[in-house]
Amino acid sequence: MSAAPEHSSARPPAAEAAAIDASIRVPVLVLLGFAVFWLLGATALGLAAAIKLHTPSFLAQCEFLTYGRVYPAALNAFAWGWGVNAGLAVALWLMARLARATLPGAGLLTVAAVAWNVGVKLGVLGILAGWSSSVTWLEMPRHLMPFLLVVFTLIAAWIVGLLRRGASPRLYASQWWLLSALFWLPWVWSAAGAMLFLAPVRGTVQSVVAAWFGHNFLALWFAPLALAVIYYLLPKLLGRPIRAYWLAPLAFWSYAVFTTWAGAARLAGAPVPAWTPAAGEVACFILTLPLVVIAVNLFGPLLGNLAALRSSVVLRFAAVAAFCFTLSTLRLAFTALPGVAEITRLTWFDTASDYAVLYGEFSFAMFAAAYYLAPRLVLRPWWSASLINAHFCLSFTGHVIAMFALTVGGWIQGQELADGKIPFAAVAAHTLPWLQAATLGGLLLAIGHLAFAVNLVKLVLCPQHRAASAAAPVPASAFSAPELEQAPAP
Amino acid sequence: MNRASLVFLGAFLALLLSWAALPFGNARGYGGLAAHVDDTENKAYPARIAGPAARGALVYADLGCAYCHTQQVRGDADGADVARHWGERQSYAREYIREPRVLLGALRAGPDLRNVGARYNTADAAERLYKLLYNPAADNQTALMPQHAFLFEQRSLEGRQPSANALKVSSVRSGFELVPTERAESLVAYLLSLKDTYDYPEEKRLNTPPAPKKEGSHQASEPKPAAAKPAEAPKK
Amino acid sequence: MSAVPSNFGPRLEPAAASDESIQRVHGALLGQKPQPEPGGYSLAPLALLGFMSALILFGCIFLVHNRGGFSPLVQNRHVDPATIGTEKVELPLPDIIKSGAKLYALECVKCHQATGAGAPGAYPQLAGSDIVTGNEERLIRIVLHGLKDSFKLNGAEVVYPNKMPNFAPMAGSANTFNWSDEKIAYVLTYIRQEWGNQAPPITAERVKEIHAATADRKAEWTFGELPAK
Repeated sequence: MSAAPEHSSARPPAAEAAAIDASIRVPVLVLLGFAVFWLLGATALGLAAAIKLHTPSFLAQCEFLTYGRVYPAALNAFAWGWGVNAGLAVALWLMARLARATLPGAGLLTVAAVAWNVGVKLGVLGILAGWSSSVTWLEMPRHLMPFLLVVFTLIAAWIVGLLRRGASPRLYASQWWLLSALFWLPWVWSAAGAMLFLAPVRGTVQSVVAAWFGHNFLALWFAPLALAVIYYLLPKLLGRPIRAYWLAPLAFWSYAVFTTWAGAARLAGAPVPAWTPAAGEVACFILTLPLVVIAVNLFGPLLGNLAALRSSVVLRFAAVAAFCFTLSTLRLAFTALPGVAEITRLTWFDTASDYAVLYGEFSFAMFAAAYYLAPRLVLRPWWSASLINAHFCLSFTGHVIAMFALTVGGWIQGQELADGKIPFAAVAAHTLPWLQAATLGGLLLAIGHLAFAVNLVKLVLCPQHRAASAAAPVPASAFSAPELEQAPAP
Repeated sequence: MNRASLVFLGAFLALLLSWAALPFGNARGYGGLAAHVDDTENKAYPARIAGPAARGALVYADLGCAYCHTQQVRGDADGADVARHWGERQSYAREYIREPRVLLGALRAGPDLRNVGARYNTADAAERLYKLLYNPAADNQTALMPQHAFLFEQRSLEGRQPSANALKVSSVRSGFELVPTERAESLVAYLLSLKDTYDYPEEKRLNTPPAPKKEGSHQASEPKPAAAKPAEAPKK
Repeated sequence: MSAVPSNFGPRLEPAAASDESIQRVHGALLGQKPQPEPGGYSLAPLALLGFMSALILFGCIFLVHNRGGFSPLVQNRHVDPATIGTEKVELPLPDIIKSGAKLYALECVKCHQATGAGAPGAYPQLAGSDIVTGNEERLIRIVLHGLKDSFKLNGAEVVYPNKMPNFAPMAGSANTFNWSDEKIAYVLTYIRQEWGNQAPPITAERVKEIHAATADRKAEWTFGELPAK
């Protein structure tokens, strides 16, 4: 894979970035719009759930707003609404850009996106109405699952198909992560759905399947999409190549082989065969290998260019996402240690580890991608710079507060639970201040998301903003990019 | 790494490997676990789940109880569950084979419920659970649980005899009574059915670490046989 | 490396590299391992290899210690089923008493009652009985093959209308209890330590030994045939 001359003889000519962006404009914006809708919905539901945890009388009279329904509804709106819509939007844009292919049938893809969102909406309402299966991430009424699976697979296949139309002979690291994520999610989802709902396995094998799916949903959809975005945006905005890029395949393959096992570690102490959690814990330890490589890859160009973080919000979002990837993988390895697992399992500590992936890692990467790509799709700059800055500050502060609160609170909870002399009611009462702090963090996130949503709506729809941009169009040079210089061989 | 087909194949195989071991391997390993027939008592354990309790399991799932309550007692190596009297020993996989939807739970915002039926074993257990569901705040110990007043209905007593299962709470208007709905009755029946008191000999043998000394080790650790006698005698 | 100057700030961040160049440069970098100095070696790949080997070694050791024999029924990771062996281990005393209590509640309770007091004139008491707490062999033989006619209880000659049935299989007997030696040991240990009785446990080996010695017994014992205290 040396720097061979482009062997593009058999391939269609490369499309210009502007033409690519024009071809994907509608589906990406529709997906992004739905994503932001779900982000706001999930934030509202999640905030209600967070308040209920320390103030149980809040909205307690309605059955459909009881904690056991609002919380899974928030999780599903976040994962299948925000997570999948934003992920697909970014995957579509990145794949088109990196394959250098224009998208055929954008209208059909938009219809599929709408179908997906109708399905998710029915699913979330189904949870609130009492059709939840209570299996984490798979709560939506089971009859919706085949429909959603088919729609998702069609969209994913469409995006992967861009590769064949594309002019680029090479796959960049972002594409490995994107291709496998688009393939992994239908795979792991259909396998888990079949074993839990179609032909249910017996007894606690169900819990093994659920743990396997629960981790892999995060590790094979959310994390790879975040990594794809970061691997792309760092060289893109810094003008520097990934450090020690020759190791990136090692990171990818070791991650793929071992993270798929790591979910079993959550079953420590559960009524399943002892080897199952033990194998998961070993996988968690070995995951520090891809972690080290990815950290060198990503922080290499970042650390050499810290000044760029000050001027670029997109980079700041991406840097936080990279940092949260590091942190969440370290948390996996840490909580797998003997002596630690006994304390953190079944506490807020482990829940916070999931939030680190879903929010710190994935959502920050999606925000970075959205702030970079949206103005390029509509050929207008964002409506307000201060809303962008406010969004970053609020999301960052809110996430840090919530993570800190749930981590420390969860640790205390675990230590007290491990002491049989402390009554359970006292343990629960001691977590209250931490849960209140987490609600405060969630409140900041909610305001940040509002800023993001307002900015996006203004960017795409506001007539005044359109008119102002039409009067003073952005010079084409602002959308062009110079060549990346090849760093001298180390 | 330049061939998409290679990436696909590798991604497929990586996931296949873990699937073959974890979900599939365990389904093969103990997915066919049968109930244990105790030839002394001539009964199969775990017992079949009765109708109301089976319906209650569905209520348990649709209300999302599992987001705060676990249903797994961990052994002494994994915490203080036994010291908290959440169970006499760790839960065994065999105990779950009759359940259509196994919800072990991932968070203990509330106490473990695997043996709640053994903890609520008095004659008024159902009534205590109804009161707890109706207004958890009445007891400091359960004040953090959300109310489930929507599982109860107020009925006018006009022209009717009071129901046998009406709740004795002071907040009901005079001339009315507060009765659990059918869903509340199913849920409570399910909760009361949760008790793992049978000792599965095979599981017990395989999950008791061998004593360090082989010869007469238990005699040495039990100074007086009479003193080591368990407190509960059969009350039949 | 020179970013396109932009006056939009965060509203439109400039790209510093085109997609083509990102792929071209990284495509070239993919095959570019760090070149060692002439005569020296490069530290980074070696350190990584060492880290990888250490992780895998540690993982294997961890798995060996926590695998529970890869048995589907072993949940306690500190148990290796290979060291437990397949022979039945003797239950600890509290479990024996628990099993004995269950067995008692199943059959014995019908005559001797839950209190062990029996029924005056119909069934003798077990609580505070010198036959229960006395000679092991006598007690075992009574449960194995039964007892008829009069006998001496706590020093007094007594007679009951009903025979004590045999719990071991016996030729010519209609009883179908067919209890194993183990079950008999459990229930006897239980009655010897319940209701204030305090006598040492009876082992399954002892029952087996006596059962073997009296295997050809075809009728209930009379008290005179049994060993005295």
